[in-house]
Amino acid sequence: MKVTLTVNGIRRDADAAPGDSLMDVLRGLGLTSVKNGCDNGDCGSCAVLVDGAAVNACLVFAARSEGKAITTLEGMATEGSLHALQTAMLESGAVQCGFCTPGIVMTAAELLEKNPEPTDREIDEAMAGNFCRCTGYTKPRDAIRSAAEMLREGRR
Amino acid sequence: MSLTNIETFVRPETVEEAFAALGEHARPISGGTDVMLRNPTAATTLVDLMGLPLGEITESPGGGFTVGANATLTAMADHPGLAGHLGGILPEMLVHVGSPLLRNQCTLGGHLARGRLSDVVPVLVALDAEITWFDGEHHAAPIARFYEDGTHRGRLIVTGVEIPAATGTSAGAFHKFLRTFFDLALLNAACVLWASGDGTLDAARVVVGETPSLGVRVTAAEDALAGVAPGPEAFAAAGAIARAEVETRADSRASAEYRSQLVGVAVERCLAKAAARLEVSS
Ligand SMILES: Cc1cc2nc3c(=O)[nH]c(=O)nc-3n(C[C@H](O)[C@H](O)[C@H](O)COP(=O)(O)OP(=O)(O)OC[C@H]3O[C@@H](n4cnc5c(N)ncnc54)[C@H](O)[C@@H]3O)c2cc1C
Ligand code: FES
Ligand code: FES
Repeated sequence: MKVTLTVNGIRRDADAAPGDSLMDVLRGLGLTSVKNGCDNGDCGSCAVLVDGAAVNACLVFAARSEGKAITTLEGMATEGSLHALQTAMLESGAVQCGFCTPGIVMTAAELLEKNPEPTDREIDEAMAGNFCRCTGYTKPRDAIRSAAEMLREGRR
Repeated sequence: MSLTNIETFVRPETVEEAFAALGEHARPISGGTDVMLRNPTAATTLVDLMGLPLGEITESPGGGFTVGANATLTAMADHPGLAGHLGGILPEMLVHVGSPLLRNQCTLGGHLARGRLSDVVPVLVALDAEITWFDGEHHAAPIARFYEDGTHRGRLIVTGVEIPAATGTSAGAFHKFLRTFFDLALLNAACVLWASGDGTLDAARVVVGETPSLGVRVTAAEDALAGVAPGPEAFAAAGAIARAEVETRADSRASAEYRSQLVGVAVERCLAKAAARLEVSS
């Protein structure tokens, strides 16, 4: 069957089976920022925004995502400049192997949209479903705090 | 992941249409997180319930709540009235259900229909909530009974939950034993306390979950708390009663003996948290 998705503001047609996950279909479209870390809802490396809410794309059916606005990491940078979260992740040394980074950025994007000035505890709670096996969580937390500051000051 | 057995989705608009569409090969789907992970291999059709008008959370003038089955767990935690109910027992519990990514997707109806491993059920039992469902007719029953008599295994559509208004001076709390912040419960407990005017407790609800049952009331502990002054001694005594009363189960993560120890500690800690909230509110 054909599934028509709106990804990063662009309509995309994909060949998909009815039982396919959104994660697999997005990867098939070349959006490989959506990582398959566990295929089980545990690791958060597949996180994307669906109508603004960060979800595990491995647990969502692509066929049920038609008509919704899907945002992947590829849609975060605009006009050649990185999103504040991407800049902050790089500057804070929060990227090592980078496998978890897209999921962290997407989950944090929803957090900062809802809560522009999160406390460290609020950041930790919001990021509870995003595993990082390299950095030890402190640097991603620093990065999210500093991205929040950049966004509040209108920098990006 | 791909569920290769699935051929089609149907999208009914009313509960009656949705129920009529169910069958041996046609299973309901709400958030779909559990369907995706536990592939119902007999199913070729998924009956998508998200088009049903069951997404609302409403507060009645008297202070009770109706939570529609399609409300996500995030929507429940974010609802100001529900979040403040009985001192915040619901968000205290919801923050421990999986991760924010999961809670954005999974629904109350899907969670309750699934009927296993639950942090939500013990809290709803402590709140005296009723579950509502449709199986050709509309029904409502206390949530514990829905599981005890096996109703949840039948062909039905969970439509929502009714949470009664708080009464008197009361507060609730939830306690979960887990190994990491993001883990299924080894054991959990929920309680509600009512204060009388004279510094003693009027009544209590004590519920333990993740035993063989999803949420069992410990009425002997509740009785022991009525009329006594809240405090460490009373809570330790209630914990000891719960440990003696509640049957525990063993699995790959913990032995029944270990869980039995946890019962007493979970009840004791849960009561202490609720009592601290009572003090603040009285
Ligand atoms: C990674 C992970 C971690 C988790 N951690 C926790 C945790 O810590 N604590 C906890 O309590 N739970 C936890 N869960 C369980 C989670 O809460 C459930 O998966 C979720 O609530 C299911 O909701 P859903 O809407 O996605 O259900 P769905 O997948 O849509 O449905 C679940 C089941 O119910 C049926 N169904 C769906 N809606 C209805 C309805 N309205 N009426 C009748 N039948 C229906 C479906 O056919 C299916 O069998 C976790 C799950 C995952 C994946
Ligand atoms: S791949 Fe989706 S949560 Fe791990
Ligand atoms: S940077 Fe390697 S998993 Fe996070």
